[in-house]
Amino acid sequence: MQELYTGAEISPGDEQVLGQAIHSAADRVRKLIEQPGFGKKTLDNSLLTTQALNEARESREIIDPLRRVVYEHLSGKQRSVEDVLGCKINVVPDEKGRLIEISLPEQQGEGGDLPIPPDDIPDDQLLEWGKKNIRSKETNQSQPVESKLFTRLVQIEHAEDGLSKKLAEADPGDLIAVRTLSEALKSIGKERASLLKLANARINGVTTADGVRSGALKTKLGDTAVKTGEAAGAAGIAAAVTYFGTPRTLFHLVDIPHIAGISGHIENARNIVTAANISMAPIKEALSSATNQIGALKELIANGPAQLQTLFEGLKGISIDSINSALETSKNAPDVLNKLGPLLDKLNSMQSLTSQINSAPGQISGLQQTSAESIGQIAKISGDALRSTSGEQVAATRDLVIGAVATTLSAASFSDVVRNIASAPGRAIKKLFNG
Amino acid sequence: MDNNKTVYQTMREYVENNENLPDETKQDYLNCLDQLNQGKLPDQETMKEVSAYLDHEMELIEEAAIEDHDSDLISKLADIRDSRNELEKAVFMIYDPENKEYQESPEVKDKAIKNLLSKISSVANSQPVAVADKL
Repeated sequence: MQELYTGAEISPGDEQVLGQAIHSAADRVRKLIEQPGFGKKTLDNSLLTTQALNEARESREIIDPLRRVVYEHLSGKQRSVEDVLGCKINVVPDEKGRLIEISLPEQQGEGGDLPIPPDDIPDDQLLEWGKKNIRSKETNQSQPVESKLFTRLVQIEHAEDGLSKKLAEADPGDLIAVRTLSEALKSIGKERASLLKLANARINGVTTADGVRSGALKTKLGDTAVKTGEAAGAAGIAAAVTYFGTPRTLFHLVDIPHIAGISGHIENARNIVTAANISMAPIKEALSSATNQIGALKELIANGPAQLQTLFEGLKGISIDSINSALETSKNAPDVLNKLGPLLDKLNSMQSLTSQINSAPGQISGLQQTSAESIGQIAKISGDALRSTSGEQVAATRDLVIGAVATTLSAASFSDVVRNIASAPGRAIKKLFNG
Repeated sequence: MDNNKTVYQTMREYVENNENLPDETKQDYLNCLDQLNQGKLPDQETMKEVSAYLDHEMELIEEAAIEDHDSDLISKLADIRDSRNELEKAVFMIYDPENKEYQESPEVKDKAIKNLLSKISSVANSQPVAVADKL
């Protein structure tokens, strides 16, 4: 494990992935600005040049601050609210009862403006200076909107954890505490919902830029939008490893409207399947019964002749002489009937069996017709369900893709960092630390 | 804060009071906003510049709202950004020289322009809800 300036513990595997993501992002941005007509374009008074980008990529001392920007999002990996975010949660009594006071880092008066490196510090010592002077105040540095948005979201998650814990531990009889904690959770939940709404609006903006690009617009604003979109995609790789990459955060993905849609679609699909199963149950039962009957009838057709033969063979065992003798000697009708009984029984059985065998094909045909109808009904229900669930699957996939675009929200962070580096190579760290 | 100000009024006032804008640029931007408010399609380049400028300003407002933990304003800004995204897309479509549908059918393009201006007018004349404070 390696200790980084943020205090986050990054495994060697994570570090490698992050490194690759950053280099990949840098490559994509470099490729972008190398496009004809773009390399010399000014953006916010900064001149993007391939040379500056290459210098940025080749210099570990400049790449490292880039990593730091990415690592800042990794606060979700860190251990406690207090240690990492400095988010204090206090219950402060006031006139009306109790008021929960949530002090987030920027409210604690620790930072204010970040320290500015003195001008006499050589460029090659800026990084060390930054590590030493900015470590404890890095959450206060000027960041692009996306970084602030996600940082705040992470802070809210931690604050919610703390509040939920306190609520769970609160004395149920202390109604004021319970109510206050509930209200605080509600309030912070509202803020999170608003932030996620804004995140979605910004995603839609990126999507618009992509749409414009596909339309091959070559206008100045179009190029700017394209750049934003491209950089967004590039930096999204890094962002994916950060905000969306932590297992804990993944749990919260359901809170993002588009991602929430996925769980909604899954739930819809489940409901569709359940409804289809309920509809199909009696039909399936009827089908099963018909299938069993058909099986029995087919068996009858197959085995009936043999049974008839057996019955016929049984007739041979009945002595016609003894029946005649009984008729001649006995005046007792029951005795005659007793003698005739076995014969009549076998004849009846043969007649019945023959009748069954003869009617079996017709019955089979009828049952097959019923079965075919049942199968058709099942096919329709399951087909409808399949189509509906496919629709949900498509919708879920779409939402997942849109959700993935959310990872592109650090676009500005990356492009701004690159811009800062490109605008003044060598003094980039000062820019990075002071916005 | 004056809650009666429309987005158009807020934007215009903001541009007018921005001391960092050169006078000529400021006038161009104001003309552009006025033209939009009057239902006219402004000069393409100026419109793009104003759009980019306002986008930058929106970033600042969003940043301030996030820092202030102002849930209501953040939510409102999200709505405004959504509207702006729609408008931007429409503007791109109209100005796109490679948009054959519009190039080959001036009537369709005219209709799109009218729709766009109507949308802009609708957004511009909606009330901004506390955005003015941030501006």
